[in-house]
Amino acid sequence: MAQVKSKKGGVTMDMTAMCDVGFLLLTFFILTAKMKVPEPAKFDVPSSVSDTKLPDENIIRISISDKGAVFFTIAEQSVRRELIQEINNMYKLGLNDQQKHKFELTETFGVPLKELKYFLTISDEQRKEFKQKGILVDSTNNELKGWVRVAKTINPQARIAVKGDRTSDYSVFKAVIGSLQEMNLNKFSLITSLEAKPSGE
Amino acid sequence: MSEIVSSGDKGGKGSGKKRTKSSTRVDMTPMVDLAFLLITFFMLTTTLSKQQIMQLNMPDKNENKKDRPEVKESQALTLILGENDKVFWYTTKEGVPDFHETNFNPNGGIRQVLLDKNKHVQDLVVVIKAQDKSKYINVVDIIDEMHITKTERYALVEITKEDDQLVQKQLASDAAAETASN
Repeated sequence: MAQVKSKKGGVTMDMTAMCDVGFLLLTFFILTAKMKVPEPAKFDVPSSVSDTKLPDENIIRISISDKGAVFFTIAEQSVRRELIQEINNMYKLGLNDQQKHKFELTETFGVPLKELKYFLTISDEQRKEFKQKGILVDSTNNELKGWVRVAKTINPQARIAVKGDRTSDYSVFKAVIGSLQEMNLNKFSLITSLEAKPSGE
Repeated sequence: MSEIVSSGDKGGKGSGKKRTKSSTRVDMTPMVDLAFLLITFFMLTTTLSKQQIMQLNMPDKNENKKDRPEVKESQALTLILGENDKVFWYTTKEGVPDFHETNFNPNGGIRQVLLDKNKHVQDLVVVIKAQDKSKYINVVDIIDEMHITKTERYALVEITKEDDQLVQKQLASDAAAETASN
């Protein structure tokens, strides 16, 4: 009887410790969570049964948007700094330090070299409105090769990942793969989202 | 910390103790609930946002053609990816192609064809050719099918004019059959 009574009197547990742990973990996850950088175009990746994870580092990502524009992404800021330095010298773009710094802060871009200077001059608000046409991959004027070659010399361990929108035309993909093959790069990682394996396998 | 100590000094020890006794305990249950809800959310989003990759190895373009392995006619299966998610496949016998049309349907589509061929043909080699009108997802899907059906030897090569003509012929005969049935 005495036991029952004491229970009725309130089973208040001391939640402080639990609360502490909870918020500690919460802080950890919030801090480690990566902010999703808004992408300049739609990349809705197809799904596949492959379950290899995409490594975080040493990746040169080439994205193909639904409209067929080609974008270029390098995650490491230090590589981007060297990249713009090299590209600026190679193509004599005449960028100033401020524009180079702006490039450093741009993870993904897809503008022809001709428009690069303008793209790096405009403000962030203007950039949101600016329609990036994509890097040129024509056989006559293949700028993608230049970008990849320079990025590869800066970081020889970099692997090429291709991220294509599911509705993008195969012809663009063929052009991208073709120009990379001409540079003797024959291994690609296609970025996909996970799909369950069909049953019966 | 120092503030608390000084306030305790002012009020005296007795009153400080009394205040804590008169239940300043807050019910932490909703707070803990919320915290764990957020943890779950962040945990799931951080681990799930990691993307998967599919490895694709292309044949070396500059490689000497003589070094390439010969493929027997009976081993080869050619797939052509067309527009509107169509798949055409053919095997050749003495130079004459046996042409068929199918799709990506998981039951009875191209997967069935691949499973059948894998059963009957030893060392099957699949040659994948995509028309320019096909979509990127078709390419990923077909490589996916290779993984699912455990076809190990496949290559993505450029389409030839002959293949385009075969597809044209098939589509024309389809159209003719449709008008005949109407």
